[in-house]
Amino acid sequence: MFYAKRVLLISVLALALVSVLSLAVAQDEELVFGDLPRSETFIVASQAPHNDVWDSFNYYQAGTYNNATGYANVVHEPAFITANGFYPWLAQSWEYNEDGTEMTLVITEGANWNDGAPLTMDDWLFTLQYNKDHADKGISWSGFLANVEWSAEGSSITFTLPDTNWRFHYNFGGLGTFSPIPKHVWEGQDPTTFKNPNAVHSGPYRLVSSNPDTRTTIWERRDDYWDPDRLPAPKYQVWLKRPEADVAVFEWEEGNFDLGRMPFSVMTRIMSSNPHIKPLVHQDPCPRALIFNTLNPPLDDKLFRRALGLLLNRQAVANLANVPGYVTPVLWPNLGEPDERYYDAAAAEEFQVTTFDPEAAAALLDEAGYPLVDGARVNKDGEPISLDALYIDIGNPAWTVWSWLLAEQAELVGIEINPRLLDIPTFFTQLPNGEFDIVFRWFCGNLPGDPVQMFDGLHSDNAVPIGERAGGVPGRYSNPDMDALIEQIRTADPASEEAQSLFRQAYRIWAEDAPYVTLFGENEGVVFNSQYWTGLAVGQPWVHWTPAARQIIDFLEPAGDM
Amino acid sequence: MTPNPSSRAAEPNADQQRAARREVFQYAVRRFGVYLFTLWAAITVAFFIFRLVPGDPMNILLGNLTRAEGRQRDAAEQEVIIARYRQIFGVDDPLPLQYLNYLRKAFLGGLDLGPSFVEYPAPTRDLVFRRMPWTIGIFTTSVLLAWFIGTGLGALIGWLQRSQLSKLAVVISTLLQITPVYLVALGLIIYVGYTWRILPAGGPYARHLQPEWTWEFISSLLTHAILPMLSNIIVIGAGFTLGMRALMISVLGEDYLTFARAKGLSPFTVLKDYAFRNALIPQVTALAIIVGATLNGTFIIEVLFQLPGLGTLFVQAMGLRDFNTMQAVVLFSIFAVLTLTLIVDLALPLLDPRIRRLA
Repeated sequence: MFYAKRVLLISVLALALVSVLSLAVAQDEELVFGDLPRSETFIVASQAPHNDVWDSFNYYQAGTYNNATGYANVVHEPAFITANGFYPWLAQSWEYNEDGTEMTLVITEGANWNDGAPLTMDDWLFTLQYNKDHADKGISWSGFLANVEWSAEGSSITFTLPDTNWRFHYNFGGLGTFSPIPKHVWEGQDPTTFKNPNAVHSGPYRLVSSNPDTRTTIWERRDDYWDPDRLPAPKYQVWLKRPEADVAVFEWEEGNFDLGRMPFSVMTRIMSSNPHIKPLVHQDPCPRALIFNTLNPPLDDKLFRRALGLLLNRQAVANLANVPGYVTPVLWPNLGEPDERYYDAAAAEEFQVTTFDPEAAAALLDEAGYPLVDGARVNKDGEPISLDALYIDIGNPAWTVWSWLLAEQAELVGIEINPRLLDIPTFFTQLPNGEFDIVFRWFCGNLPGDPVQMFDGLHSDNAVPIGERAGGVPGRYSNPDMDALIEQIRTADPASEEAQSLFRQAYRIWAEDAPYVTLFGENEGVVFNSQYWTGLAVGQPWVHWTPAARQIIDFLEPAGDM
Repeated sequence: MTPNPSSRAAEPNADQQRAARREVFQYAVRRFGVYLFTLWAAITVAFFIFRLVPGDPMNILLGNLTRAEGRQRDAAEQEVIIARYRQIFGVDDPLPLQYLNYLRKAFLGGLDLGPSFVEYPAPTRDLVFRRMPWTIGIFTTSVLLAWFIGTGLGALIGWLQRSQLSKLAVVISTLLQITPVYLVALGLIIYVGYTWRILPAGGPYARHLQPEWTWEFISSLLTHAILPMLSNIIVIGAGFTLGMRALMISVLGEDYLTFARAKGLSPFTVLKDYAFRNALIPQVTALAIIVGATLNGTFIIEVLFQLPGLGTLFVQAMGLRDFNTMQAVVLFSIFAVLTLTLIVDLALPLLDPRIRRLA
């Protein structure tokens, strides 16, 4: 009897122990967002743009372009991903005919949409025609198809171009470019109003839910992705709107986010509180520059503009930006080391591009006829020179300190420069309208081996009167010699020796005329939580506002640190 | 009725009653006329003022696109996009014509307030109606709670004005009243939300939920509402407390209170039926004003707590210079303030015979 009781007691205790242990094991699996295992969920705290749309997955709507939901980054796939080169994705290659009037695009076969339907040539042809048909609705990726015809054979589409164009493939591989859409979803839909509610595209994730109230989108990986070799590790991705930085700090400290951009001012604090948080520094592809309004005297004088360029202490901007390696002085055409094929080193030296030399600036001002009178430089009418320098503040210190450093240096040579902080809407209005003297701006779009964007916007077509909206570089610059070169550059094969020579000539004119001056290349401040995921490293071209993110998430691996 | 002895001087005859009713009716008509005129003036000012704010929404749209896509568009493509959106937003017409169109669509077109940039192609009206319940639900409720708590507490503090506890309460209320509401909100977020982890620190409800009639959703909604409501209750409640205390103190010196005490009524009856009720009327007016002011003044609370209310919508719209949406939010606030003030004005004669007589 005693023995039986003891067996019973031991059995009960053992059962209780097993139950407790089971419960402990079960509870060890941390769940987030309801029932998503944290170890299988990648959480991105995105900085939603002002147009905060969480229930539309339609990139034709110019007003609602939205990369906060993750749709741009992990679902909407491009033909080629461009991150330090062209990577085949929904298309494999391109080829031009001898005179650059035809381009043949080879599409990727075997791809499918995330609703399971195959992605075929029909979808490509439908999209091309759809874009062309709706060009008058102000949709993206339609302008480049004007006067272009195409035909398909097998997996190739041949485009017949109205003029020689060796850059037509950029429309399929730059940032934010043409991508096919599913015919069975979009046929009969208006591109300006349709919301693509199921977020159908070819990426490896399917939409689980998206909520405009909580600003949260949940994606689940699909097993039928068309390229199993490029299936990302996270089973779930959650993209959410980051709270205000003051509040988001606590979320990061608790490890509730895996990836996101935060102001540099709080990154140090986050990293010291949570050792799993790492900076994921990489160079932003859009270098910064100062544009001069060449219609406003004395900025209409190239010597005066060059003198201002000599007053820019780029290294001091980098030092004052307060984060080591955050800002680097830049020599164009490329970020990093200049590509000698497109770069005139002699011109750079002769015109002291990116050189900081206040004495040389003073000498240049004297030579140009801006004498120092009672401590102030005067213009050709004998009046003291006073200029406004416009900037915006988005939390990056370098965006603001340049103006104060320039004002300080200018004061030493007798020029008054007034730094003026604008709110973003006013900035975006005054900039294209030419309502500025000196303005800070970023330059995007240069692709490896083709710095066309450096010069293209300087064509005098953009030199419209102040108050009218200008495209390109809005400094109203005009130089017939530069125009002639730009027109030749536009039609030249960028890889040819002829084009490279044209680029070098244009570089010399640019260096001499200084319609804008280079400022710095900037690193992006992105923080990465390595507690649950690893694989992202400093220097990877992670730009979570471009489709390059699609490529980067393939590097993610479970941390196994649970 | 308020037991004010002066109101019982003489019972009016039938003619006097008819005349009084006519006067009240005329007062109501006059007051409603003023209300309509003020509403029209507010709509007109709001229409023009937002269009005078620097910043062209079309340029902002393209600027944001450039930032988002990381590429420059050529001038021709920009022009097509701008032309399209200018047409949709009707901004190519002369301003007076835009104004007339706006009034026509708003009043004859089923409250059509135009399209929004914030969530284009969603109409502004839909955005406002979708966000309105959050603002009304959380902030108006918190103001009402603050009013009830503040009024009760203020009456008690005023009644016990000479006690040490009452003096301490006045100091605390004064400190809370002058504290910016966003500081209180941040304090609650940091300590209650993150340090002690007692309540959720942000969002309207748990991120994985969808609105539905389930206990999980409702409980999540309620727990997420506590901190933003508490931020408002603490600051606004302190204001109501001090206001009611001052009213009580002024009433306590009145002769009819001395008379009531002399009659031998219990202190509680004197407080409840004589002092409190007479001090209540200005406090009701204050409530109407505070509800309106709170609608305008709690935008930052919504942003800090990530609530999808009208305040958050206004901040988003401001960033895009989406004047249709900005205007709609402001109009809603104006409408709410004016309507509440009208209701209170019309209700006051019913509450207080002295006002009815004046009317």
